[in-house]
Amino acid sequence: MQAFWDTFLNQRATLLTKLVEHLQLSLLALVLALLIAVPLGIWAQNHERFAGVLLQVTGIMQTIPSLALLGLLIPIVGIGTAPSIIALVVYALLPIFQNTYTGLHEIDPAYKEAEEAFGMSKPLRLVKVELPLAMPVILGGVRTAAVLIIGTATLAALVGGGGLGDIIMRGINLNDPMLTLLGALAAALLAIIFSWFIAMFAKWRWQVSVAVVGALVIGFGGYGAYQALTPAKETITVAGKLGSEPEILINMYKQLIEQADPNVQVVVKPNFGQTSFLYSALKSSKIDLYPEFTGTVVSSLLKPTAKQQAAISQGADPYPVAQTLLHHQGLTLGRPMAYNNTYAVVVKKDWAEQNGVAKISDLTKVAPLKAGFDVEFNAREDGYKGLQHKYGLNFAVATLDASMRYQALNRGQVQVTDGYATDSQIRQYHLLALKDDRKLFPVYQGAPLWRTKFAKAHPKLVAALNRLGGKISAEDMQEMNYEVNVGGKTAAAVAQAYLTQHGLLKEER
Amino acid sequence: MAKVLRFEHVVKQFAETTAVKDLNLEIGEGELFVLVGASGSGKTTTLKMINRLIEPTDGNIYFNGKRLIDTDLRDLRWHIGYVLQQIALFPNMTVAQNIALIPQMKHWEKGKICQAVDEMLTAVDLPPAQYRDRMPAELSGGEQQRVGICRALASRPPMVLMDEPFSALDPISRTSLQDMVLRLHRKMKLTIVFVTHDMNEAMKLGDRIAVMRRGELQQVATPEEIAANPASDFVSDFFASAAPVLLDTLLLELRRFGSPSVNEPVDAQEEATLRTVLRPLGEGKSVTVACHEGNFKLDARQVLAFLASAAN
Repeated sequence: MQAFWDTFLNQRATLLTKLVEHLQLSLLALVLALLIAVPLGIWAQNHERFAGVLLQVTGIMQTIPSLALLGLLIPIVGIGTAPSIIALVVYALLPIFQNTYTGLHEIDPAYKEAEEAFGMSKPLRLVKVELPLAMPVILGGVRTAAVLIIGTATLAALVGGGGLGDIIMRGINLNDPMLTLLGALAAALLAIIFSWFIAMFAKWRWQVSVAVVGALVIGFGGYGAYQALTPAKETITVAGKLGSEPEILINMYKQLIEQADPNVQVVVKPNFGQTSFLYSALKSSKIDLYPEFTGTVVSSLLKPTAKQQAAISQGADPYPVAQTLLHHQGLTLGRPMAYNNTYAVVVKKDWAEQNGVAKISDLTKVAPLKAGFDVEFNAREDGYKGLQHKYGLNFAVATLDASMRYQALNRGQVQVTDGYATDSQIRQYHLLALKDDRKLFPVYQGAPLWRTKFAKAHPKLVAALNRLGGKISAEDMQEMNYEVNVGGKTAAAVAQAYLTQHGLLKEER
Repeated sequence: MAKVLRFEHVVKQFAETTAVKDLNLEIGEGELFVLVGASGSGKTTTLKMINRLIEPTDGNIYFNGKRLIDTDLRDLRWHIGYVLQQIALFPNMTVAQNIALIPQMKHWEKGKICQAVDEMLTAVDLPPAQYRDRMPAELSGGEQQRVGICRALASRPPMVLMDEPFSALDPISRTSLQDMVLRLHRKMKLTIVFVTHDMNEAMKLGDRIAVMRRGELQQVATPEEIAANPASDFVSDFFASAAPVLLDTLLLELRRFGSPSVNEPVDAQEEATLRTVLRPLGEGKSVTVACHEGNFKLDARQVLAFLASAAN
């Protein structure tokens, strides 16, 4: 409980922005779905055969798994808010359409006979009698749709749509269950409040309801319009993968770029999505740059030749290979930073001192040892198998969930575990990442990735970011991650502190 | 009497059945005309053809000399009030809003609408101050149908159609609403076409009654004529079945409806039933009854008054 409360306090600023994003996304989707489904439900009254077909179609649409729907939409509308909104609208159509249709359809025919006998026009019948009578049923559908939308909207984080899903995804990526819980609880709470709000609609006089909806639409619409209209300067969009580290880096980029060229405004999109989303967003000019790892380029984004692959496996720097491969795609990497965010073999610092261990090869002297490895690491050639072949190490291995490794190590249940070189837990729990003296792990160096065309058009910015080349050690990165994840500072503040301290940013900013 | 409504060879054919067969009928201005018959007799179909809720398959209906199909539908319906069996007050509107519906569509000014609403409520014995802002669900069935009648009459249409308006009400409300309809009919000089399956109700209300059976008119006549000279066995059976017990009432019990008679020839004894004197009554003659409490005389109107009071 205490841990959750701390997380809440640390993240409350982020939580608020994400909550607003989430609400905007959900509300927009709901309004669009209403605009489509209600008229359709009205129209279907006099077209019974179509009503059946429409019910089938909207029903089928709802059975498409949301993840698949998002995936299908990306090639058509790209990434970001658009596919999220479309997917949410698609899900909301069925309950709203169904309830509008049924609500109107099941009105006592005596009322319809009376309307007709009194010479009421069709629009008047709808407005004065039929819609008010069907309203409780319609609102029931809207409630279902709203809850559905708010829940599903957490998936928007996967395609850069933002919202509370960002917090959940970050929690998953950082193995921070409290963060995930925070995001999930916020989404659930939002759904409950929203649902209550709609239920109140049925009770309020319609004037009140219209005023409330009007205020919301004007409020959010105005905010959106304001955001859309303000940037008169050139806007550059910098996105980052999930987690604190990319967020810190893109804030550094923003500060360096804006210092180098005051006429440029940088929009940062932290937690924009997984690697493949960012990569396709960059290629389709949805974003202008994002920090990428050399190792990721050669291992998952592009396919090196057999010869290049062999060299990398021997421990060669993948940077030149990555640069060559990217060149064919019209992309360029900037100068890589110092730290190598690769796999690491991690032990407790005091234990290492006691046993005189500093390098991985030193571990052979203190066997037998117990190790807790992540399932994937345990099976990978550049994981435990590599440790066995290259170092001749043999541990009593327990496979652990990624989130459990550091705790097991901290409690002394295992002596060795795997991790990433810049994990903030290394700093948090006073751990040591052992030196990979036989170069088993491939090199993962971070560098800005942009379109070659963009880089040529903005030499000043390229130069500004290249100043980060060779800077930031693994320890620096651990420290900064720690300050964001545990210390509760914002990524922007941490980025600024580092840049100022290292003379990259002028003080007066 | 000027004829406002004329049916000429009107036929209504539904998919399987013929609801109305070759109907010829005239309804006069200011008349309270009752269509009576069992279910499936075509009486409601006939009624609904008047405001074109149902269009005839063949033949013509004339309203004020003009063919219905040549009239503007909306205009026609604004000239013909409609009261439903299911009442169907719009549950989302107050009593006043329900009544104001048609005047509003006719773009009456606000003050005039308010006045009309209050006048109508007063006319049906519902104090406006007390009822104006109530919702239909807060009213009893009888009160609801009073409002239903207000709604039909608020814009002062010259004609009103009533489709079994009281069949769902309890006997006490039914009687008082029947009295109210008679009163409104006289006061507002309305032409009313009234559908019912209840012969007693027809006898009580109708200036003239049309008895229908399987889509055909059996007889169109005043209540007195029907009672005296049923045009067919069906009519007489229907009439009889409507009030079997009443016709077996001993004449003694009609004494308070009759007028005292002294020294006139006696036509019937007090222990005879009403049924035995229907024929002379139908011929317009009065019947003198010998009674131990004093002889009395009965005419057709007095017998009808008895029937009306006893029917409920």
